[in-house]
Amino acid sequence: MTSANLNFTQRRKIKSNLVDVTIKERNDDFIRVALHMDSKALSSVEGYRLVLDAFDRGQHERKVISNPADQDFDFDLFPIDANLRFKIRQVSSGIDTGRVIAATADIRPVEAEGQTERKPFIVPEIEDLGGLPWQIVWEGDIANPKLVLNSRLSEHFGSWHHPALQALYLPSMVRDLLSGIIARHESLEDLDEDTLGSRIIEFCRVSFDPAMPSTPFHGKSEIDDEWLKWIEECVVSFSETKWRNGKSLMDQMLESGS
Amino acid sequence: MKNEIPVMRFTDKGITEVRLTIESLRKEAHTKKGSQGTPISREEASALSALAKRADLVEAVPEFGEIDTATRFENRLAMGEYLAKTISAGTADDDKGLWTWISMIYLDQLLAPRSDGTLLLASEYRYIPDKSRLRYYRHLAKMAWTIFRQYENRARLFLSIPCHVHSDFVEQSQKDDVRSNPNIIDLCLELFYDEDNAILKKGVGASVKREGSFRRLVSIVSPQLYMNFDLYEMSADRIDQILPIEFKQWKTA
Repeated sequence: MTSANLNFTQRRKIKSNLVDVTIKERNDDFIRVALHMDSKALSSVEGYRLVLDAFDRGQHERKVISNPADQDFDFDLFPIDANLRFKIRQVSSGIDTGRVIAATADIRPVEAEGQTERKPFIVPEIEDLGGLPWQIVWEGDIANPKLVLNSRLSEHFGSWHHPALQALYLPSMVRDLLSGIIARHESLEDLDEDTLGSRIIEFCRVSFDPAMPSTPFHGKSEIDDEWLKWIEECVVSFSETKWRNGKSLMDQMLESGS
Repeated sequence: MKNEIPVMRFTDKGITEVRLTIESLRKEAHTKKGSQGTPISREEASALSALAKRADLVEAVPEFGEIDTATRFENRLAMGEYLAKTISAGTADDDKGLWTWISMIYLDQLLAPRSDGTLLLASEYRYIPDKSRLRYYRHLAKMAWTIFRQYENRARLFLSIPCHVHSDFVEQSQKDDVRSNPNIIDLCLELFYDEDNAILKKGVGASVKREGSFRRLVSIVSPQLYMNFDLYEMSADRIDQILPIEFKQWKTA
């Protein structure tokens, strides 16, 4: 089952690159959050309210947004160290009141001191792999495979994060990483937090918002079909995401070659 | 007969001692992956529990007064209610030493009894809080406290089970979209809870493939509804009206 199947009221997606959620302050009484939204993010319909939902471990707090361009909110339900995620919903208040007109995927906030809560984790080690461009090594802790990029490639392009090089290896590496993790574990719960396996799956869930299958992975003998579809959806979204300067990996690769 | 003593917490050294003791008991018994726990004798359980009385491993927590170690709880709901009254400050949420100590003083109620007289010692995170996103809700005592504080009497939906049981219902309901929405909790009480017998209705915990099951509501139906409707602003009755017909079966059950 995919997101498209579920969206029977044609809810629109609010693109995350048009929304900025920053945590300005944390103290014992509240967590202060600044919201900035581009007006292009909203559907131009009459009769709606805009809400900012915050979540952490079974708790939810909602704020009504009156000035999407620039507004601060104090959330007082959560502990000082809450690992918050947010969602913005544009909800109809007209004749079909309660219908969600548009919504974001989960938003992980940026901390005011400049550190995002999401740390980079697809960082390959550079080794001589002979004729292989890249490799995932599944020895040892299978939740933490080693990602390796051929040193000849990084030398040729000047860096492992050269856009043309990343466009070549990242989508395939993400596909193999997801498939490998899912084939080697029985369920999501077998993965400890902070492992590469847990983080890549969480990253895809949060960034791309595909409907996650409710079935277990099933492990090595047979990956559940729904999970294969989920992986495909993640890889397509990954390839199409505008990562830097509003450009996808492919856009950047073509641009760097012209 | 009551046995009220001051509330304590394990120091870091004390938590380590509890952890090592649990590891040692589980290692010696070669616990199989996927099993419900490791059988231990009542003497071993008493020795583990006795760590809570060792002055070199614990320290006082003056803000919480006294706790009755002799209380026997009818179920996790009763445990949650008592702990919510006794441990009243939200700051306790992050106190690993406190929750480990509470687990040890009520340990005999947190171990599943077996027919051969032994008790099942479960994974460490049932007794020592683990902040991992995948494990934090598996602490038996703390989660009873957390859920009761959040939902008070409505917590009966989750906690009408023996103190040592971490039900599949609790496990499946940890998704933020479910546990954080009181309207969904009200709906689930109406659909799935047998008020006369104070237990969940038979068949509620069936697999996701079974029409009308709780798992199906949590994993398939509610994400679909959330995508299209603002369930946080809809009453349980209103949500009930847009539920698929498969859930009507519980109205007569």
